[in-house]
Amino acid sequence: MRTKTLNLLEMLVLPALILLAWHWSTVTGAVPSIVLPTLSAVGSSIAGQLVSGRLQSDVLISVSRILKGYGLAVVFGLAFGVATGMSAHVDRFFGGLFRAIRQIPMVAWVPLLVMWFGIGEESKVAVIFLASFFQVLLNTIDGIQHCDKRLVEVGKMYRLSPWQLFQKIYLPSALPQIFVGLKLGLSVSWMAVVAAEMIAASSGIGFRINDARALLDYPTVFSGMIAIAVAGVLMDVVLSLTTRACMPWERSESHG
Amino acid sequence: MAEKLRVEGVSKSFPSRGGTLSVLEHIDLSVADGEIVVIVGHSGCGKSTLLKNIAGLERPTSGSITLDGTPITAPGPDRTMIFQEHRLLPWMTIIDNVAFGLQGLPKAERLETARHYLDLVGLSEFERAYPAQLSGGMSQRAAIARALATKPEVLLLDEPFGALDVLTKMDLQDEILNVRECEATTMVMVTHDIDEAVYLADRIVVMSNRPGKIEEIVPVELGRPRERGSADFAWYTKRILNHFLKPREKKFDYVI
Repeated sequence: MRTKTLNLLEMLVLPALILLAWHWSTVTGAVPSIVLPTLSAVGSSIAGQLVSGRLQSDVLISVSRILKGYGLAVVFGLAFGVATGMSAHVDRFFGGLFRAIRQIPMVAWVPLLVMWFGIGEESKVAVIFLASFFQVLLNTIDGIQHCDKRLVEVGKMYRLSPWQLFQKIYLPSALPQIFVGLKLGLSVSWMAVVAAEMIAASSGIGFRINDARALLDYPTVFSGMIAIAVAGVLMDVVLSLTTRACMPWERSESHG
Repeated sequence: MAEKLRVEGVSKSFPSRGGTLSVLEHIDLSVADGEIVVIVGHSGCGKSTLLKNIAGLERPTSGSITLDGTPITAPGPDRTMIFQEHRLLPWMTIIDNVAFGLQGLPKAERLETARHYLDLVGLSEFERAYPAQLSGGMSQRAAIARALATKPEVLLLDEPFGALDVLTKMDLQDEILNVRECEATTMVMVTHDIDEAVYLADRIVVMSNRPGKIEEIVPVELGRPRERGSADFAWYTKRILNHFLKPREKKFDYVI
């Protein structure tokens, strides 16, 4: 228990130092407040937005876009990934196209998607989908294809059906890699939603940052960035806990 | 004793650059019910390929393999194989691994059978552990339990103790003899450890290298338990070893 507290303290040292340096440099006037707002200005901006509910609603709008786009990406990425990983035919049919499309950076999609879907919900969801789909897809394919063939041989020896082979051998062996894809997908989803909202949107946390920048309201820019970081970490923690729950064997340590 | 397994005129070759690579050439072997036959030879002499053909994981290029007069064409419940690596599934607990070959049976029955064999190899306490938590010797014991749980008539062992330390190896060799005592299983084992061959075998098959051919079949007429240090034991060891110790060619220091 004591080491746990110490470990936690150790993690907090650097953030605390940064806050301290920030506070000191702005309060003494070493850095002008137009470049870096004071900690208290950012704090009161966050507090004010929390009281008015604007910060929550901004974050909520962005998060709900992520859930839609990322959710779709997970469903399609896993489905296509498993099919492509398990079947050489599917791999040959879709593989080339997928590998070509993924080379296009997600920001390059934005103008096209805005033209197709306007600046409403759909274009944001589409950008997030495109950004995270390939992360999930390619990692799933990779995980399935790198399954240990010797374990597959064991499955064949015990005469497992193709479905049982998938369920008992290919899928669990691919899980670590699949979760890497899910994690990467989630983090690019955040990047994608904020970028899309900054380029073309009338709501969401990315819009708020861009709007505040235009009004030279830097405390709000900072509060938006902090909100993104906090929400991103929270979602990442949820995903990490899910990962641990799905792979209990990864936690077991060797004592051999 | 009645004939259990018959290998008749089996050859196996693989296509390779510039022709075919012949791995096995005209192997004839008859294994009696309850007999332990140990095949020794250089690594790469095709002994593992022979086992895989008996297991039904590969098919011979020509010739036939029959079990109780029925040709072997695919893996079957009457044969299981133990590999050099334990090949336990990392995501399953030990008991689930041992029950792995019993897919079709009701759960209670599977677990009961698995417990019985875990007990036989002395791993009852570890049924909820994951393979990563076990030592190499314990993992190989679990693999033996998995192979026995399906009650095979023929057990195929592919250098099963090659990666273990000497003491663990000797333990597991006794375990194998114990299994034969209890279950009257017919065994075909492949090894490059001549001591192991003399200790376990009723007959030793000496195979030559590239292509794999049977050089000699040596019946080991020693009582059991066998004494590793005895003169008779050493006589057999020497006799097998002589196949591999080629007379040295005289080397000249100078060629004039």
